[in-house]
Amino acid sequence: MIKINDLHVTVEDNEILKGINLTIKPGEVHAIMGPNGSGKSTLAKVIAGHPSYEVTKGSIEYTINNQAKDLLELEPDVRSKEGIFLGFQYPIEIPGISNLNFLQESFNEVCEYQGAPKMEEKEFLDFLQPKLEELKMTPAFLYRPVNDGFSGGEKKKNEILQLKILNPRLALLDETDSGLDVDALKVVAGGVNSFKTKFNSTLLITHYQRLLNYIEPDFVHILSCGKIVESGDKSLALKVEEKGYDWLA
Amino acid sequence: MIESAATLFKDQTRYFQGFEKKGLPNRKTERWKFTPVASLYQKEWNPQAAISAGELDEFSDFVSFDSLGELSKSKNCEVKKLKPSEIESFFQQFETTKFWQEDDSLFQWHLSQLDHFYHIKYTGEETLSLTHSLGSGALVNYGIVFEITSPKATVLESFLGTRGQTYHQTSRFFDLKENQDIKHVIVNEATPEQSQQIWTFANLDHDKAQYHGLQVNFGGGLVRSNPFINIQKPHSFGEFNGFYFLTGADHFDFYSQIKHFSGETESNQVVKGLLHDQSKFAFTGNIYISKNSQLVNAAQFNKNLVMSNQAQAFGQPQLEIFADDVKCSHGSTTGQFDIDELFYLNARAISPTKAKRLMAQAYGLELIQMVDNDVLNTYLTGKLTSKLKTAYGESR
Repeated sequence: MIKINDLHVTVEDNEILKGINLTIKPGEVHAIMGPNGSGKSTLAKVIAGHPSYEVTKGSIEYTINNQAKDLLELEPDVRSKEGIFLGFQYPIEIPGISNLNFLQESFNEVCEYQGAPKMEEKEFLDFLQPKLEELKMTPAFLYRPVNDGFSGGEKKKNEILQLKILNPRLALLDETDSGLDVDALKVVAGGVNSFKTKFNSTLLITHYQRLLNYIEPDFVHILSCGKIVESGDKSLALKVEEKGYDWLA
Repeated sequence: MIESAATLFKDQTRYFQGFEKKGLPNRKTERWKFTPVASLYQKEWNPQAAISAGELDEFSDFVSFDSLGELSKSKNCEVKKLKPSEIESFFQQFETTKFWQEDDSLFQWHLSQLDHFYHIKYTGEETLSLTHSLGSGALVNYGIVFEITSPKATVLESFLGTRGQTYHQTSRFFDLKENQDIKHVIVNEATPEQSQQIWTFANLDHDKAQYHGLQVNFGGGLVRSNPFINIQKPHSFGEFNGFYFLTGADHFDFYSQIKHFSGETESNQVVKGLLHDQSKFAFTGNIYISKNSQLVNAAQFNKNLVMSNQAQAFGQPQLEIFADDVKCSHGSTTGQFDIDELFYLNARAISPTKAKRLMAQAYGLELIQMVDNDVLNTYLTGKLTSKLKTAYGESR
């Protein structure tokens, strides 16, 4: 699915990522944990193509439908159309644009790129309905401005709604659990779990082991000072929960 | 070139003398420093035959004016041209109000050149749509006094650029009744070769009056909008908002005054927009609160997005507060699209061009959605979306 090789990234002349190597295969769920400032969100944003970050060395190879692509050559919107999804830690508020309009524009962009017919509003609403129900969201969500005035939990649910609408191949979920109460966490985790298939992969970024009680990772990686310093299975997350990150230094 | 007053009514000579005494404003004239107008007054105008852009299909109550300021058509309202004596007495009375623009030579010039002056009586409760046609190589001056009789109504004025140059000056006067709620929307679609002055006077001299003004400006070579609101009785509310989308060498100067002459009144103003290419925008917003006007709540905000390194934005929010128990806020910012906001849209498969269009649309819709009129809301949303789609196309 994705193969990151010796990735070095700077922002405003500060090197944040200092040689990341990571391979995620189809169907796998990986979790990245690490102390504040270790580069976790940077890694997710670089994969999604945020223009503020400069890749100074290394490569990211993305394979979809048995075709390998140089991801760093693709614009952010093309990466999304090719099946990469970034669930934002801080979803952006867009007053003036309704959620429905935004979701439909986004969905139809992907349809057009993939040669599928676009959906008109009524058909799109029918398509949305079961997804809203699964995430325990009312239709009123659709008519509010994008994320404007949403609570933290509503924003995160809205991100997972977008994940389900766009149905990507690789989901990068940046602290999707932050700001969620336990009920909302279960709903959001349920949404992520229903995304899992043998074709889809997930990269979870989290500070806390509690998310991993609901979404079981195949691999856990610890990122520290811009490098992956430890990899293992779920037990690694439990060890971090118990001992913190100091033992890795 | 204009060398004398028009001959519609007697006092025009006096107004022309007032203009001559002060002369044309220049860059040192504070209220005109961003907008060079002298050439428009020195130019030889050669009026061609009148053109009428017609009326808007969406609204059944309408008035349309041709490009020489003559009434073309009207439906479901009463329009009459005022007699010279009626115009005379209207302005003699107006001179005694707090609206009188003694310092502004160009307002007196506008009055001195009035070709027509209309009284429009609207008894409906829906939207009265006025269309003003622009073009014909003419210098045009006319004014409108609105008499709205229902407690709640909307006036939509559309300036439609047809063809040819023009210097088009219009003034409109609203006098709100007690408990009356008037929405007034101006949509300007002047072409780059057309220039305008748009004067608006809204007088809130009765309790619980509400005036909601909005100008949506899509262009014009040189456009000066002068909205003035006087709030004179308690529990009244006045606002005049603005959204602009400028391209090429468009020039838009928004100069407003909102004056509180009574306590327990409120006002609001949000003026924002986008500048492309070599366009220029100037915002001067003055909020005045008189000495005895306690418990006033007034807010004002100007936000400019500059999309080109050759575009220019000037913001001058101004507060003049003489009372000591009021709540007032004001501010002006100028910047560019937020890179994280654009990235959010890009990360949802939306192309950079479409993302910018959506952000611009959101910018305008935030103000349009404040207009509490579903039909007008739908009309304005459609208009904005189509304008922006055309403007951004596939190339910008």
